[in-house]
Amino acid sequence: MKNLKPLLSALALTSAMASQPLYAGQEWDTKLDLQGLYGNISGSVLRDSTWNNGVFIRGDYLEKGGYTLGYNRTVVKYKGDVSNLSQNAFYGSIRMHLTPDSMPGRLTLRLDGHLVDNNDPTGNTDEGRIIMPEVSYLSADKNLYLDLGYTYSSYKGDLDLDQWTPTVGFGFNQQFDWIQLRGYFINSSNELRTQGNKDTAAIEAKWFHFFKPGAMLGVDKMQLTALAGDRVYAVDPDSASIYNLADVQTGGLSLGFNWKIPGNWEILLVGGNESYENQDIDDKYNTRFAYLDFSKKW
Amino acid sequence: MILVRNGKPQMKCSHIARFIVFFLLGSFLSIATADETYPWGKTYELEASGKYKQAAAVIEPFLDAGGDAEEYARMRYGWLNYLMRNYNDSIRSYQKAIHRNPESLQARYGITLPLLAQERWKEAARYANEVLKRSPWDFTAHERLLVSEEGLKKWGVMKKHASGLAARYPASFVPWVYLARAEIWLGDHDAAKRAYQRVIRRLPAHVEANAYLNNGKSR
Repeated sequence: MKNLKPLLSALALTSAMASQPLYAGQEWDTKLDLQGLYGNISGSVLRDSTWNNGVFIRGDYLEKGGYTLGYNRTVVKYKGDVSNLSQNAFYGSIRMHLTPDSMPGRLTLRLDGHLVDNNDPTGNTDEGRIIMPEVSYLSADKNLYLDLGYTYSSYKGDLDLDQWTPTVGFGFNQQFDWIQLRGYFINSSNELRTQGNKDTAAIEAKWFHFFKPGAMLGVDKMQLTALAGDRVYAVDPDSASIYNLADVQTGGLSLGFNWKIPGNWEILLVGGNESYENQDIDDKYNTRFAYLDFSKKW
Repeated sequence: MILVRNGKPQMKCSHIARFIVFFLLGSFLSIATADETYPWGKTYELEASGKYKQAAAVIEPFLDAGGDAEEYARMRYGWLNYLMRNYNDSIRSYQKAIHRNPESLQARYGITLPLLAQERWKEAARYANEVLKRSPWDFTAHERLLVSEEGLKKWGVMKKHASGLAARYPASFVPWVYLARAEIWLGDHDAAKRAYQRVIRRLPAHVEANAYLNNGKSR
């Protein structure tokens, strides 16, 4: 996290310079995220820990569209004398919102791209080139969300993956609660490089609860996420995370809390556990992680 | 032109020709005047009877007429398409009206309606703010901006804004309604009650205010 210090100072300066508008109506909304994750790996014969940090900037122009740019650095520490695996991942996304009169709601067309570079000695996870078009729909009453994303991933040598992520979300309790279900259906072109898996399928469920002002500890939002099934080389459309350095993920559970801080700052703290399995060597292990995200809007 | 000479009417050829020219010109002018008044009255009649599509069709020939007729036709067309829930056509029409007359406040009021209907809160707020740059305490623009702030859930901004508007328009119930809603979302129910009581004072039959004060429920 020490690398984030200069950025935090710059953010504080930006915050001091930004003035709060009297009325709503600025054309560009910008959000900067600084995030870090530490994961302690238990039960693995090979892996010891993992950490990553990243920075994302997101700009939205009115309700017309926007962009996101991001950078993420991940390190996996191995047991024994094995060198760390370090990865740089670059991310770019553009989106456009449409409001056709023929349907009550908003359509969003989105296109993501990832570039991955690492020092994996096997080359299995290196030179990732990922592209993800997605179309989503949000109903006018904001109580229904649907999306369909397709992700094409290619890695060094002869590995290509097709991922489909159909998603449904619905709000209830006057939109104080939101549930989202997303399927991950991944097809590998090379079973030898995906631990014998040709096809994997997983489902992820998320529950968000938004608190009224004055909630205990000042919490603004709670999120509970669970994953069941298997997925390998997955790409998460929400977090723009790539799971190429992990083995086959077999489950996950996490709980997070979000706080809003005066000055348009937010803090998100998430803790959880993810289960993995290296099916080539029958190595099952868990990653207990803590994730922290500072964000600033202006 | 008929001339009277020696008690008898007489006409010269040149006078006959002039008569025909003036007659034809007069007839043409009377037709043109009828044409100019025809669509506007007709479009209001059709709108009043709920025939929005027909009302819009009547003024369509004027959409590219140029000048005042085009500007007004664009605004009427925008309004009628808004009533028909053809929000994108409505937005395009108002945008063209603004393009024709960049100083138009009314076209900016107009375009906020389909934008708010499509929940494009920030875009609606942009046009309301453009009005406020030219006319800082324009009530309609502030009202549309409050709707945007509510859609964006900017409760703190909305509370401050509604308070400011209430001070400028003390007889209006509208700012107090938005102030009450902001207070509810900010968790101050006593302040919300006080605001709704002021709504009742100004409009005793206000459904939302009565419901909240009688049942303690928001809308």
